[in-house]
Amino acid sequence: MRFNSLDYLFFFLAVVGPFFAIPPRLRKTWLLVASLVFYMYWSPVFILLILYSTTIDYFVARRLAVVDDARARRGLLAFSYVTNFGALFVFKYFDFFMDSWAGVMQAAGFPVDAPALRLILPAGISFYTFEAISYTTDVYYRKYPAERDYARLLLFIVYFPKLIAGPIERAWHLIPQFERTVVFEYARVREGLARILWGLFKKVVVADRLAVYVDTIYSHPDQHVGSTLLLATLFFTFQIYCDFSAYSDIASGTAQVMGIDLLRNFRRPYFATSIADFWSRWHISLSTWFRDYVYIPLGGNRSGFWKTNQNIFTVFLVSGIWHGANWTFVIWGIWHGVFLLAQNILDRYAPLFVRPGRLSHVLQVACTFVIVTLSWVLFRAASVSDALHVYRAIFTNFDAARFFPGNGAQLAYGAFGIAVLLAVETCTELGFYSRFFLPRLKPARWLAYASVVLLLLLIGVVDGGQFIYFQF
Amino acid sequence: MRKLLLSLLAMTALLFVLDRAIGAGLERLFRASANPTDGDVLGHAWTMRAPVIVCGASRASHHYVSDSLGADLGAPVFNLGRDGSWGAAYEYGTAGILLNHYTPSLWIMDVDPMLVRTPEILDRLSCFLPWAHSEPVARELVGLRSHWEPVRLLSRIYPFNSMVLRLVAAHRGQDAAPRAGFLPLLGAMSPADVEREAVGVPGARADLDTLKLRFLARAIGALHARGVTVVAVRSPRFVRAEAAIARERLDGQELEQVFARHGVRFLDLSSSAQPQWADPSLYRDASHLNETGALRFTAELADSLRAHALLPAVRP
Repeated sequence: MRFNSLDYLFFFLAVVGPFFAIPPRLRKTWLLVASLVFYMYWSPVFILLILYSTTIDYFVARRLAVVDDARARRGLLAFSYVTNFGALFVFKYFDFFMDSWAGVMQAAGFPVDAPALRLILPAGISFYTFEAISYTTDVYYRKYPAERDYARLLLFIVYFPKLIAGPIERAWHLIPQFERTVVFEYARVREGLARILWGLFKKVVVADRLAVYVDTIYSHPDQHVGSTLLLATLFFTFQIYCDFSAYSDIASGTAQVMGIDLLRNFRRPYFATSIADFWSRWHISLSTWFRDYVYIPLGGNRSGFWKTNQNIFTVFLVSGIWHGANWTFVIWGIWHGVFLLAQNILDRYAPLFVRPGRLSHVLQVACTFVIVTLSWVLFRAASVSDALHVYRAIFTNFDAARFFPGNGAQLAYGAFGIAVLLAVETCTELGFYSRFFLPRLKPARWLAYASVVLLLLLIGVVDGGQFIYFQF
Repeated sequence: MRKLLLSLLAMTALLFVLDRAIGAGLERLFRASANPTDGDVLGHAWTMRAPVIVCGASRASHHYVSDSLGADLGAPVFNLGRDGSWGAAYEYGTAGILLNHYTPSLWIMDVDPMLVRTPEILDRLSCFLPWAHSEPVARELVGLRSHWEPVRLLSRIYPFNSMVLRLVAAHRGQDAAPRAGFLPLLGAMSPADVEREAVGVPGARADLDTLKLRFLARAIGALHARGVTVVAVRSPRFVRAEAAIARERLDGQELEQVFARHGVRFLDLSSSAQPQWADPSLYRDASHLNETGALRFTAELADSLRAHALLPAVRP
């Protein structure tokens, strides 16, 4: 069930209405049933995979709570990892590794017929696998007690707002919130609904509108010159942000209406002043997951400068692989790792003494934006050779005279969407939203809500595509 | 809870008023525009009550010179061709809406294999949205897109979704003015395009689509029931490669059989059947004639219609 569909609107109303009407003790069960229905609406059979891994994690965690022997505990944790990562590997990476292996063998002069499973990727598998792993790991390190209530653990995994594309939740953050007695609070519900509306705007008006141009160009990048490809890449920069952050906004808004705060996932990433800053603003729940479960266990920053950088690079490599079973994503991860490394090395060995000021701030934001935008080429291109073509065209065959404008109205709607987005984000970044808009200008606020609804009807892409991160 | 409900109620009322007001404004712009893509082209057709209607996709829109054909046949012609690859559902919808307002005498369908092959793209049926409130056929077709269409149609803006800029441009006279639906294409094929066609290999042949065939039968049935003469015409396409010519012949035979089953005469004026259409200077691209080509084609079509005694009857 897509968030940007009327199916979801009616599902949301059907869940939220009874949620406040039924006694608080029944709400967990209600949310669990709703979440299972939500997931099974897409494909009922894959719920079995979630039940299977959750059941194993439940028993592993219960054993970890009572077993003290270090070796046995490691074995239990390994069992959980193998179960969760095993499923992820089979569904998402098996064919990729087999294809890559066949490619290597062929290049070496030993052509082989690599087996392929060609399985459908269960929705949200990368997200709920990471949540399950974080749960058993936290229990292993005794940071969180083993869950006694199976239904509560299952609800943590399948809680519908964040099930398909995050934010990647942690047990310590989400599970205790299920136990709170939620009372109806006007301000919270209104904020939640406003967040959903803003998410819909970003998805339906901005992301899906830009997607029309981006998809046209990136489906045949070899037929376009650098100027066209640059605009398509720039559009994709905003498309991917609006698409993914829209999902997070709708997820967080939905949960907020029901009294639950999900982890924050985005904080205006294109205002970042460095790659490190970018990753503290982009897909925050994933960045912190990698920090807690990969970077710190590898040693973090406790083993010297070079080891720290090696750990950072490893994290970005894994992050690239997590995003997709394609070499483009691996290189995308490496790209970010390399720039972060370069930044760290520069800071240490050749620090630039730039006087802090508005101009230097703007320049830093602009440089970071360019690096991030160019990295999205790898994220969007269907293959490494396509990505290389795009880079070549942008830098050596710009040819503005042969720029392909496509449908002029589409471009205008897309540009308008970006302008609105940037205006709102700039106001938020500068603090205008929380200082003026939220507390004081009540009529303006309601007018803004009404305008967003009208824009959805006027220029929104009805029946637009899936969220990009659903493929992960 | 009460405060929220009251706020939402007030918001709904405000949205209702704004939706009605903006929707009415967009509808006005739409009714005033005769642009085949974003205008009330059907409304203009039934106002004109043209005895001859041309219907089809972009090839219809750019190949049939309405005023020239009208002069040759001695009766006004309106061209309802629409840019894009349209299947039989478009013929059915257009015929159904028009027959609700008047009965033309002759219905010329510009046909190619896409009319009955490849699956119908239901999303494209959104072109009938502006008529969905008033025309049952439009409502039926729009309903195929999603089971939520009746809910979406509660909004008066929704039928004009994504059309606002084009409607405003048309209102300000910034749009190409069609001549009774005909939109001429200027320019000629580039030598590179001609070369490409010389070596082009046609792609795999798509299957016949049962939904398209059903819509075609319904469209022809509705027209025949009202005494409208239907003619299927295949207009020229620039084909030069042997394989492409062979494919075009094969498609022509199949289309002839399809229309014969419905008692409709099929006039094949394609380049594989009429070698004089192999001249690249008559084309804007491989699929579309330029204005010169369109004028020549229209004259040839008029001759062909006369030869087959398919002239429009004059109705009182």
